[in-house]
Amino acid sequence: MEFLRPQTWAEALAAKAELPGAVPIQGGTDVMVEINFDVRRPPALLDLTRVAELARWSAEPDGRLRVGAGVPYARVISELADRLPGLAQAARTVGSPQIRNRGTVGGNLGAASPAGDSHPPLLACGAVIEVESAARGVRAVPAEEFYLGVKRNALEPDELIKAFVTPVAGGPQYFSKVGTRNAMVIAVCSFCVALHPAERRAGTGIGSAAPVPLRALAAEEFLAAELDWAGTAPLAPALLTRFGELVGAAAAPIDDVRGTAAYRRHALSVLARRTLTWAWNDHRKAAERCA
Amino acid sequence: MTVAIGEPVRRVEARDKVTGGARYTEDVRAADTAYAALVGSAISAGRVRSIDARQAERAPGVLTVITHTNRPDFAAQPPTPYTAEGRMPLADDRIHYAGQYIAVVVAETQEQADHAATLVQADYQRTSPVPTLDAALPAAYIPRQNGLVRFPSEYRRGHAETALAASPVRLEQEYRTATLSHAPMEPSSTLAYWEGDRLTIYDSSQAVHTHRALVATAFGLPEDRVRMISSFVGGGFGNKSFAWPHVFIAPMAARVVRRPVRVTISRKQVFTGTGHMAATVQAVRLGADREGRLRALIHDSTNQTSFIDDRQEGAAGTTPYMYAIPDVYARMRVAKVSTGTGGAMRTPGDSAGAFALESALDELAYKIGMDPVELRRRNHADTDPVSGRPWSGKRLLACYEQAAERFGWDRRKAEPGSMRDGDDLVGYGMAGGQRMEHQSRARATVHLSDEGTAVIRSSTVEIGGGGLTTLSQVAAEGLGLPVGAVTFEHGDTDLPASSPTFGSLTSGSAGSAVRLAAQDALRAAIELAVGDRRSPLHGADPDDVVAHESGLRLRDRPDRAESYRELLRRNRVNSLRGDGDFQPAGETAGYAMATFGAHFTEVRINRHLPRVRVVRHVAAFSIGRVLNARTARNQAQGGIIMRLGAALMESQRPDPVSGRFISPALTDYHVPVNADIGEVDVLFVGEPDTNANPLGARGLGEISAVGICASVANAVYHATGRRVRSLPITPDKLL
Amino acid sequence: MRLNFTVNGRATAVDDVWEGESLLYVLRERAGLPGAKNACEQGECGSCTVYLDGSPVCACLVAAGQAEGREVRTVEGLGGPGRLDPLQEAFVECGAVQCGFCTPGLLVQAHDLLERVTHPSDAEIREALAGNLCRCTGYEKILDAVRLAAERKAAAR
Repeated sequence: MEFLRPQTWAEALAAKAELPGAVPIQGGTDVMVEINFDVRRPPALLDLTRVAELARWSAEPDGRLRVGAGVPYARVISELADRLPGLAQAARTVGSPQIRNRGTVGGNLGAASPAGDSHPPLLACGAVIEVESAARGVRAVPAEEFYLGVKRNALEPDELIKAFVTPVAGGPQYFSKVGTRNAMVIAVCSFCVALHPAERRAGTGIGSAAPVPLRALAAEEFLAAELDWAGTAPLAPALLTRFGELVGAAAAPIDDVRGTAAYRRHALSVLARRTLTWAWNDHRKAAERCA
Repeated sequence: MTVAIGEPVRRVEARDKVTGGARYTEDVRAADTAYAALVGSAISAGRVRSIDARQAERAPGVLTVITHTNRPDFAAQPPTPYTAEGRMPLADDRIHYAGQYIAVVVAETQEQADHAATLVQADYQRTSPVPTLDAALPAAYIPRQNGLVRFPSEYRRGHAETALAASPVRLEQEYRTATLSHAPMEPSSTLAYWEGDRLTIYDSSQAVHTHRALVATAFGLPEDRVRMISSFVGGGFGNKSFAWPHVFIAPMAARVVRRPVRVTISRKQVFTGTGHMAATVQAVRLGADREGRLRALIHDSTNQTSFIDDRQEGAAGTTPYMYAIPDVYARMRVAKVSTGTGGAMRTPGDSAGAFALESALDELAYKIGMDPVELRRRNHADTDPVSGRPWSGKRLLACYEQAAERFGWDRRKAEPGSMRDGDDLVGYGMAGGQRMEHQSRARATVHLSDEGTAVIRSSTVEIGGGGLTTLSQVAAEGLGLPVGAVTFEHGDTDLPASSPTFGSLTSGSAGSAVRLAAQDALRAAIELAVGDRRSPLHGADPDDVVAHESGLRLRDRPDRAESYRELLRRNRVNSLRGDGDFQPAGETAGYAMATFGAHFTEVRINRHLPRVRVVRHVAAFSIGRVLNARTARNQAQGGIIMRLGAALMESQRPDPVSGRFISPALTDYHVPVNADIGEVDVLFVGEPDTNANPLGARGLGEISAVGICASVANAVYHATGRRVRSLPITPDKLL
Repeated sequence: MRLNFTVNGRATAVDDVWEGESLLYVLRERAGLPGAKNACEQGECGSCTVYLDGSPVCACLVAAGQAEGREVRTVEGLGGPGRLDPLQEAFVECGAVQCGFCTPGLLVQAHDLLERVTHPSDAEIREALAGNLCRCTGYEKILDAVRLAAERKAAAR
């Protein structure tokens, strides 16, 4: 096995082009487990922790945020909670503090587990994943096109994940997750809602309830049609119930050791109602302040 | 100055444990060590047709690959139960469960061994597995008595069926407990090396003398040629009470490669290769009158066992002893599943059994509209219903009373679902628990030195319960020394044979041995003093001399005293030795012995998204004398929290087709984390129980984990009106 | 490969490191520091927690090569020569140690909490220690110890 230590992004891309079997490693939370358990023994490890570009985030000219694939969850929480609240909330539920110090959104995208906590907020916010190869340059893949199957993503063998680019939150965002205990849980199911008042719509993301993380499109359409963005009234119970039903219906859960399909559907409906209630209450308060 | 037994003194080994200096078996190093990796079977039933180890043998660093076709013979099959499986590793080509070891790869480094293990190719001939207890149930049977069947499989008093039929109130229900894993933090490790025909084994063992005898038998050696050392054990809970296959593999491999060999099992192999608490299905039938007096009880338990062994999970073993019921029938059957042999896990039999019986009592209480505590009081067994003997120090009624008061049981509204707090349903539940007390022969010596210090020598193992500390306190009190003046040599078969560190034996048995040894050393010191003309105690009646402040004095004359240091130095005695040999009184004692507990639990359950949160748990225990208030409280909280895990999240689920464990990993075998635990309060109601043994102490490790699951399930019923009879109580069961 | 790093303040070089090896293995088997424990190899238990450039991490998930040129601090390096850190003292005093296998990882993780937060609330302590499993489950005493150490560290400031 080789251990490759590129110092720059260009070096990293070159190394990946030369040895497409090289496995990129950042926080090691997935890759090292596989090596420790002898599940795989790649020809090389490509250590990206020294590539400074990956560990930065910045504002794009169009106002969106570009977050390097190597920014650990701990920094998403401490530095981006105001701009990406949904993602920061999700980051807080990842593993343990030790894992959050090392693990990255880029790693979550690379592993493409349906249970990854970053995915629902990325979907709800409309994030775009930037991937790059030495040969073909940068490709921008919308999050919803990035996840192809259980632990499969849109990355080509010579590509590396560079960053994700996402609009700064224009309204309230809430992430919620169900687990079997109070910490250190892989999601039984998770949900994120992001209100986009300027566009008069809401985005959604469902985790751990289908082979891939996905948006609840019918639920989003329902909200776009039903929400009274100008009003400051609380949401009608019937609207919340219907929203919950649509979110539950969007999922395609299975029974597994972490929970039954029936429980997942039920829990998703509850999470959907709860997060939307919280988000809408925040929105109302903000609207009242403006009024 | 002298610290009395019962004081919350600091752990004697704590400093080593907080600096990283404490050596566990995997931290022991031997020159020229080779490393073994164990290859597990991919199928759960069938035979190994052939194994192709050529690729593995050619891999870098590999020294040998051992399979059933080329292994050296074992001299004999050592006996169960402490040999965990009644089949030696690599015995033949038959596969009884997934993960069963089929090959051992030995290499220069662990990484090389682990990698080569993935290159071993096995060709299997599959047969149909029996994947689950449900699939096996129709073929359940009463096992023959053997090492793994500890209780009689049937118990009868009176005519339970007849009495049940005649009872005005009847209840019949079925309860299920899941397969559970001990999941200690330390994976088992064994380091073995031969010097001629002498074998040294470092092993994460809870019982070095017990296990040495097994290893000696397996290799055809006299016991004194084998030395077993277990320095510190990183959690046992029964998991390391048994010699599992890897314990025999390490010396076998060391003999083959003629070098020290280390086997450290993987986390996955902790789950598949060192036992579990077997799943049970238990039918309980209760008959009572309308005043809540129990008339008949039938407790019929079936547990899964392996195709290798008939191992009883004694879920109905304590049932006959628990309540004053005239007509009782208990039966324990086994059913063969394609899984490994189970083991004793805190608390064998009783944890599972109490879930069924104490849930059923709760159901009965609701049925007749009686407070569940009152129901238990009315059926309290004032004497042992089995033997008729008086109990030795039973204070179960005080447990109910004190724990109920501390908990605030009187605030409970009887109606299920009637207590709410916002969106939370609130539930109060309670249950009792009982564990029969066991004793074992235990030996120790105490050497009293001319420095005024003492050394305890005894093979007891520190597994976390605090035995080194409590036994040091026992010796210190016996000799009138500060605890800091006592050191401990432990965990080594070169030392006097203590009781094993399982079965809650340490306080009662090992503790009594240390007490006897300390008394013996004291007697020797007194003899020396009263016979020494230069001693202020010269000529005194030995019965009037007592230990006091690192020396001796006359009981009624504080001025006639001298220190051990003066006494021994003047007489040019380096040290005085005291021997302790505790022999259990057994049946002759005239008392029935058990430990008792009462549990009270408050749960909160969100009514939209149900998940049980235990916010408060209060327990009271009757265990005789408490040797160290701090280690006892800590150990009891541990037992309770471990069972809260069993109540709410722990389950080793079998694949419905093959029977292999679906997720033998900590990622999915969830145990409680810090953030899950609310307030857990512990009370001890006992006083010294000198009928039990010279020290007056009974065990705690096991009773602390009996009754909790029922208490939680009963609280869940109270909160929701929904009775969950199958553990764990996961959210999907509350939808 | 050769690995150069600083451990507990000492420049350290180890040879023959396999490229897939974990930092945990290097510490335990090559650097003579068995304090960090190997218990799950997948970041689930926290027993191997060490500081890496000042942040607590699971050493089993750090590839050895990632530690090149970095600073590592283990439980062996928390106190001074012959002196315990106040947190270690508090663990001893409060009885926060049972079997002790999870203790080294807990200490490093709790030490980091007290470096960052002077007076952590119970919720903060529980949250900080959420990734450190203790199967003896002495969680109450562990909380007591962290609170006591926080008080003492604050008083000494």
